[in-house]
Amino acid sequence: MMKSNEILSLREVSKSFSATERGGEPIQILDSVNLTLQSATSIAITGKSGSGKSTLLQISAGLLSLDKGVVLFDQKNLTDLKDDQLSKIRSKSMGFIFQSSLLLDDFTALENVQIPAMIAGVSEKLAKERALELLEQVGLSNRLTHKSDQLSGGERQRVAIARSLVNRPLVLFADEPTGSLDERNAAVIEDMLLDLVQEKQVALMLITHNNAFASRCSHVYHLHDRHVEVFA
Amino acid sequence: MHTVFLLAKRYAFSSENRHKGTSIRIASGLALCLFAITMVLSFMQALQKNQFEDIRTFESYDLQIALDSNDLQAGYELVDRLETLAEVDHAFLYAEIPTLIQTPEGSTLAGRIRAIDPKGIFEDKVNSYRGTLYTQGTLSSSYLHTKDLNLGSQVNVTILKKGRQATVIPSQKEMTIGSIYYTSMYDFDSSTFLTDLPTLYALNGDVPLFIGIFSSYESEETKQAIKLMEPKLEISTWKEANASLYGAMQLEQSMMTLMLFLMVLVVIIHIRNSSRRLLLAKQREIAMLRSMGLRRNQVQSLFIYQAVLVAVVGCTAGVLLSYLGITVYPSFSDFVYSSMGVHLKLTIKPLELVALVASILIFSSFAAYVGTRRILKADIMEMFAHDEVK
Repeated sequence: MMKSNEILSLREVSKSFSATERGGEPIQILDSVNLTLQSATSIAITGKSGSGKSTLLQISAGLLSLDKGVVLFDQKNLTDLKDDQLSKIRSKSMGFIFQSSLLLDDFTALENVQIPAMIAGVSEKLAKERALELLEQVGLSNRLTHKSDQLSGGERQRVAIARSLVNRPLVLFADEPTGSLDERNAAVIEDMLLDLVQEKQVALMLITHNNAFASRCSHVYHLHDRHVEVFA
Repeated sequence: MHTVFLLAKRYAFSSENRHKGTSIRIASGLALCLFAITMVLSFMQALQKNQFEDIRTFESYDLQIALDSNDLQAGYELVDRLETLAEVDHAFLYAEIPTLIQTPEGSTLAGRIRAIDPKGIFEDKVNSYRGTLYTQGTLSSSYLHTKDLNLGSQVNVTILKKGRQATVIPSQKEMTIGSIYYTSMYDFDSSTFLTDLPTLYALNGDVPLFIGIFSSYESEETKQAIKLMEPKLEISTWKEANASLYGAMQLEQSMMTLMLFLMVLVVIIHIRNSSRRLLLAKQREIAMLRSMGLRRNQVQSLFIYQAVLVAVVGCTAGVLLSYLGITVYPSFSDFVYSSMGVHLKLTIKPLELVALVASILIFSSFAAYVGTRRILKADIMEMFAHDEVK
């Protein structure tokens, strides 16, 4: 059973990948991993490159299938859900920020934030209002009509943060959100992300190499040798 | 669904779309394919219609009745009775015999002498170039032989007649070319010499007599109506009487249909490859949209809408091009005449065009459906890799 304030719980989760596209011995990435995330708290997962941090995040968000184990999100087992149900959860209860600030290249900053809300069933007008508000909060009021290739790396990441919060999710999954930014921009994004998460009472699962950034979260886990260790 | 349609519109042709060039290339390809198929279809049909019309002009009947006697009087009476039927527009008597014609220069032409009761519709079908057609005791020669035979030329006619001891014996008679005629099918009419019935029967009294019938109704329908009136008559339709010729033309039609099928195959491959190209270009965006909560069937709908939008634009351009082609064709018809010897009247059958457009739309939707289905089988994170999902 999930504890009442647990929003995400991973139990005995295992995942392996084929060594090559043609098959071969599978490489075990995660082995019987257990992890929990309480509502409106933040956890950071650190570890070496290739240790499986991103895989863990993707499995937690139902973006990647798992070999064994259970992922409970808001008291629902993600592995048992059909595509429609999983899509609904992704739309309304999850937000994503990827390292490379993936934006829809054919759309403006405003549209990039507006579209997830519209997918969630929010009217175009309301979606626009929410998008405008969030873009203002991340300091991009003057970049509304700019497309991805007209924005800097830091600005793109700020659009991604606004987009991830537009549907007021329960959990925000951030995969190395400052990984591709310079130190100054990274610091701005770190502050902005943690402030917004706190302000909007959203749980955060953060993947990072940056120990200082990780230490600002409620709990820090270290992924080592296919297992999760509580670090702090 | 509103959001999905908005996204599809943007992905299809919006000026904001990075892949607009691909959409335009696909639509242009579809337009050109549709134009090419429509024009080929139109040319094929016009050419065949022209050939059928030419042959029918000369053969001059929809149905043929072989009479069991060559009694002209009885033949005329039957013609009158047949013409009372609503299905019969015009009936006429005719007969023909194979012949060898020796020209004044000594060359020999092999062919037939056909005698026709030149009343009614038939009179308009064969035209006189010189002299009066069907003048008793004379022959009409084709315009094609004017180098060897002209008005007043004396020719030696050899025909086969029933003999007293042998089954058939050759018989010769000198005759005058009393007129020159022309039709629109030179290679066919060149072997025929025309005359009137009394002249033919004066040459050979044993030639079987036929009745030719024009009908605006279906040949089979007219055949049944005549059978009801005269059950004992031996009736054959134009197609039955010219089975080998008709068979050859049908073979030609089948070959053309095969060519058309190959063109359609090219279109199908074009649609399939284009759809694949467009989808692969959008694979990362599909992954992003999925992570935002867009369902599999919504992604499929999005790309089906997009494919249909591109196909609609392509088909519209193709239809416009086709009608433009038909409109400007008369300016080039002289060139076609000089190279092919035919005047073709091109038309577009709207039903065929609708069927072609519908096929393109259906296949475009199908290709988009299959393409997205294939991509969507992968996990969202695999799609982000942007490599082709196998």
